[in-house]
Amino acid sequence: MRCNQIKDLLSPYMDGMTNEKENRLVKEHLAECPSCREELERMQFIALCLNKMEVPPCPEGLVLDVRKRIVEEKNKVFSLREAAKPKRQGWMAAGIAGIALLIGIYINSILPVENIAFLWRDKDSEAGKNVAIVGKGPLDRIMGITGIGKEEKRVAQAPFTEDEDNDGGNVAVTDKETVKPAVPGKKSAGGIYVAEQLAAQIKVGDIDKSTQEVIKLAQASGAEYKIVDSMQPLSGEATKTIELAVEKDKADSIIQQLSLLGEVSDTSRNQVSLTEQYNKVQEEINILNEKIAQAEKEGNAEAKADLEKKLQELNGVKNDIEGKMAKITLKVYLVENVKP
Amino acid sequence: MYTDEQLVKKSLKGDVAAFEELVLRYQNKVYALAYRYMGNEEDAYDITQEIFLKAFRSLRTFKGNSSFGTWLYRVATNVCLDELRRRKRRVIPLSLDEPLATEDGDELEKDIIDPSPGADIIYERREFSEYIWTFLNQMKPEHKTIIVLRDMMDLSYEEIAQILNCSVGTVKSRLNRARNILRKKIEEKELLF
Repeated sequence: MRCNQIKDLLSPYMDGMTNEKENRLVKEHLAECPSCREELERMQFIALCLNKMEVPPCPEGLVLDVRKRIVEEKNKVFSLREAAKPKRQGWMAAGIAGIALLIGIYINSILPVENIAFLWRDKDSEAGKNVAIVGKGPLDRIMGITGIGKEEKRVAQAPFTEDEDNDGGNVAVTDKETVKPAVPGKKSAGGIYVAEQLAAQIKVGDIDKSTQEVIKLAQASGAEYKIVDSMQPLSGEATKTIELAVEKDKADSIIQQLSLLGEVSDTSRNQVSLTEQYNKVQEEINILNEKIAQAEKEGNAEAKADLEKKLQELNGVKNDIEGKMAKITLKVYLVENVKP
Repeated sequence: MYTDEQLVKKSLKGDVAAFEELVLRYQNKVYALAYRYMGNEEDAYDITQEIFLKAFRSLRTFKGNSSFGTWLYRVATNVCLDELRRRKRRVIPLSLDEPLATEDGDELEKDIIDPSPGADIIYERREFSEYIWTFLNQMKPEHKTIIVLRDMMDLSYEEIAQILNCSVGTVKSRLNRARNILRKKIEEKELLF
């Protein structure tokens, strides 16, 4: 047998990955070919050296560092700083009307299907009494249609500010009654401000094509989008995560169209509380307004202009938070359905 | 004690402690992989963090078709490959004298590629393995990957096939090619043999 035929077998041969016949052929050839023997020895030596490369133990504290990063990442999504300086790059909007299609999306909810109830204990009032604010949006309707989701209640933090409705003991609101969710710019009953996030995995045939389709869909609906994350297709399943910030009334149509891209699974729903941020900004705005009035009274035009500039910035932050509340974030994990 | 799969399920429900248990279980293996890719402790530690973060973010894509360990290696390999490619793009060998200006107007220290040390340096090294690793480091990320997984991490062909999502036959031929390229690279230097 010729050397070049044997050469291809040397690597699997040294790993014991050749079959009986190949084994015999290699052995016979090696017995009479010093060049191939040498080549095998060199490959074995290199592999052995690499195998012996010393690796220091993993430094302590990895778990803590990973935890810190996870927490940071979670907070980053809707942090005040992010709100103050929204990243505009890569986000696009277009005005073409979307086409609503027929198939519904199957979404498991970690929150109730038809009504989202937040229960919390008011710090200032009697213990044991709960107040529920119940909201019903377009997504709840879709999820209601599909009939999937389990009744589960989530305890949210007590609101930052006092609320008239809560004075003198809490008001029990049952699931049947509906209180409108937080209206941007206005205090809702209880002062709860949330941004909704929906996530779903979609198994697609061609990840690049589907990514383009998602982007097209986002543009057609005037939704902001960004590609958050992607994995190399070379090894492992190719995945892409795309985040869409869609207006609430367009969300159901977009979800329906997304569900046409492939098999939808692993859906989840989350609500990020913006209450604290919102109330803090509002509080600062109130303080600034007082200071501006004071400066005007004192006739200090320079201080007033300075304060007004700050007020403008804060109003920008407030608008951004309101923008987030008015929209729903759809996190789409595209996974390429690799054919065996 | 929970199985990996149970911990994954708990993590997906938001139980960060369950995910931390997975980090504890696999940190040494993942760090070892990262170290073998990066070649130094600092980078290996950073990459290990990235790997676990990426795993946390993509946990929902773990379907249990392979073991969690194999899936994690897949994530780890992807993160390392991404990093290698990123670095490859960043390194622009040019004139030695002038600092390199980027589009942002920053100036970069020039990274001159000459990873093959002279003979005198080799003999100063305690380990031949480190010397050979410098050659491995010059290889294409794909070739480096297969050698790291097989010769350094001691993984079987089947495990590698699962990690790289390819057939055992592909592993066999890719490994053969990569080993031969590495051998020739070293032989060209005529230092070892």
